[in-house]
Amino acid sequence: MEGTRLSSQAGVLERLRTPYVSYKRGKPPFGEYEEARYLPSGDRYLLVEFGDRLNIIINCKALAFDQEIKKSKIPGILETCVGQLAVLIYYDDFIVSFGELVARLKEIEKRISMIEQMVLASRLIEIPVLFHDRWTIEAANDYSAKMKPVDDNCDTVIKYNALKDLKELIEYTTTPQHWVANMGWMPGNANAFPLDPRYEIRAPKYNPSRTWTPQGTLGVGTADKVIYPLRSPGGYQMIGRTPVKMYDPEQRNPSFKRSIQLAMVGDRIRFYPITEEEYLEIEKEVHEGSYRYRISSYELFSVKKYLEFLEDVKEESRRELERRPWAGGHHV
Amino acid sequence: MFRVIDGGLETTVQDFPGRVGYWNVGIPPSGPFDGVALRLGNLLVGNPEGEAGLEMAIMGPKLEFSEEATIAITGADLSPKLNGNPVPMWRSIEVEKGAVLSFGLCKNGCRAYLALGGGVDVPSFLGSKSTYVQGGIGGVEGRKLTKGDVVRTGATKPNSRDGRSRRLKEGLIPKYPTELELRVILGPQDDYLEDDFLLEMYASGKYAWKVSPLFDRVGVRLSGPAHKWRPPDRRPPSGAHPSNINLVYCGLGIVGVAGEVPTVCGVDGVSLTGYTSVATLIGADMSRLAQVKAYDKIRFRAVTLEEARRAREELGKTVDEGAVVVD
Repeated sequence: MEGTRLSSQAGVLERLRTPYVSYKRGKPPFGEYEEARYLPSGDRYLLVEFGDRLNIIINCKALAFDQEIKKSKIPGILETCVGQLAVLIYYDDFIVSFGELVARLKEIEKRISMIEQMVLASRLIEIPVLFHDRWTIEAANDYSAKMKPVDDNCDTVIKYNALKDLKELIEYTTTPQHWVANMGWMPGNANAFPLDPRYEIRAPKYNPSRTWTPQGTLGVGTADKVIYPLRSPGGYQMIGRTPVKMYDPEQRNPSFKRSIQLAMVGDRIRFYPITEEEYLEIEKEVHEGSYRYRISSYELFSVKKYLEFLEDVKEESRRELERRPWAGGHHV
Repeated sequence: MFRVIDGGLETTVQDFPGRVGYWNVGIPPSGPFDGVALRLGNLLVGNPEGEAGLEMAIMGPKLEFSEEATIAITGADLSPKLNGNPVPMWRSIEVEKGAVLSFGLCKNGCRAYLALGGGVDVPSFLGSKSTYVQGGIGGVEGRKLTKGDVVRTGATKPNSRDGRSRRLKEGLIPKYPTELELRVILGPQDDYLEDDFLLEMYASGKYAWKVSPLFDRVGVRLSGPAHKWRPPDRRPPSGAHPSNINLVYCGLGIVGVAGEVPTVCGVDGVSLTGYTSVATLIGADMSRLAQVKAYDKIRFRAVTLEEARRAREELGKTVDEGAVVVD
C-alpha cells in the first residue's frame, strides 16, 4: 500500500515539475556542471545555474553567458541578472515559451568557453569598517529579546572558524581583497568573497532572519560578505559597520555620478579597520558630501594569473582549511 | 490637487507596471501590489491603465480635494466616505472642490486603490512614479504620504472626460476571501524537500498556511510546521541549515524558506536570496497575494507552466475596456 501511495505521489510531482537537468555535483576543483541547469522560477523567470561552488570560474562563466545573451537579442527576454553561480532571465512567455527559450539558451551555452583566458576590467574599492561596533550589537540584542537568543555575532564567527579572537577575525577580514560576484538583493548591495582562499571564513545564517539590520552593517553568511546598503531585514552574522554609502539615489557625491550604486560586479573590495572616532568623523563627511571614496582606476584582472596564484597558495590553503571545523562537512 | 490630512497606515503613489529593468541592481519593480485593482480603477476614471494612483493598506488616508476631480476607489473595502457619507466603490465619482475623502474599517481584503482622473503629478525616477519606501525613491520624496503633503493631480489628460459615469461590469468585482488558494510553479529549489512534504504543503492545496503579522509589500511571512528536508546525500549543497544555499537571483513571487519560515516575495521584494525557494507564485496570482493580511490562510496548489500561461491570458481579458459599463 505504502509503495503504491508513494509512487502515485511521485507521478503527481513528475507532472508538475518542469523538465530540467537534475542535480549532479559540479566537478572539482571549481564545481562547474557538465551542463547548466535550467530551472523555472515561476512562469516569468528562468534560472540558469552553472555550478555549485562560489568561485571566480563559475562567476566568469555566468558573466560570459550573460554577455552572449545580450548580443543574441532573443525576443521576449526582458531583463537578465548575472550572479555568482547563475543567471536569472526575466521573460515574457507570450513572446517566447519556456521550451523555446531553453533551446535557444542551450545553443548559447555551447558557445561559451575559454573562461581561463578572460581578462576583466576591475576597480579596487576600500571600505572603512568599525568592527564589533555598538550598533550591530544592539541589533543582535534586539533580535535576542524579540525573536530568540543569539550569541555575540563576532563570537559566533570566531568559534565557527576556530579563530583565536577578534583580532584574528579582523585580520582575516581585512587582509584579502574580495571579489564582487553579485549586485542586488537591495539597491547597492555587493556580495563579495575573498580572492585569497587562505582567508576564507564562513558563518551560519540567522534562522529565522532578522527584521532589521543597521545600514552599513558588514555581514558574513556562508563564504559571502556584504555591506547592508540600507536598514533592512537580513540573515548574515553582523561583525562590523561602515559609515560609507553603497547606494545613493540622490547621487550628490562624485563617486555616485555615474550610478546610484558604488560597486559593480567584477570590482574588488578591501575592508580596512577604523576606530569609533574615525567612524564618526567619516560619517559626518559622508553626510556633508565632502567624503572622498577610495576607489582605484580600472586595472586588468587576468583569470589565468589568478589561477596561477591559487596554484601557488594551494598547499597553504589546504593547511588553513584543516583548521576550520566546517571544512569536513558538506558546505555551501 | 489634494492635501493629506492623515496619511493612514501606508499610503503610497504607484504606477503600473512600476520600475522594470533594475532588478539586477537590486531595485524592485514596486508598482501596485494588486495591479488588477489599480488598472481597473484607472479605466473607470478614463486614464490609461498604467497611470499612477494611490495604494493604501488596512487604514486608508484622509484627503481634502482643493479642486474638482474624477476618482474611483477599487480593491479592498476600507469603508470609503466622501464628506462623511459612505461612497460606492468600483465606479467613477465626481468630487467637488473642498470635498474630504476618508476611510474607516477594513471590511475585506487588505489594499485599496484611489485612481484619479489625469493621474498623480510626481517626478518619474528611472522611468516610474512608483514609490519604493525601503530605497527612498519614487512617489512623494520616496516615502509614504504623511499629514500636510500636497499632491498635484491631472498630469496626464484623461482619455475621456465626458461627464458620464463609469462602473465595473456586474460579476467582475474581485472577491477577497480570508482563506485562498494561490497557484505556484514548483522550484527552483524544490529538490531540497522530501517529496511527500512538498506535495502536501506546497503542491496539493491541502495545507492552510497562516499569514503572520509580518506582511508588507516586501514579503508575506507565513507560519506552519517545521519542514521535512531531504538528507544531505539526496539534495544539492546546503550551509549550516538545509535551507541555506549560495546566493541566487530570484523572481517576484518566490516562496523562500528561511530556516523553517516561508515568505512569499512581494512587489518591493529583494532580488537575491541565500535561502531555498521551493515554489514560485504564478504571475496571475501576484495581485491576489496583495489582499491577504495577518491570520488569513493560504493554500498552495502547484500548476504547470501551460496552466500558468492560460491563467495570465484570462486575467488579461479581465483588465480591459470591455469590463467598464458607461452609464
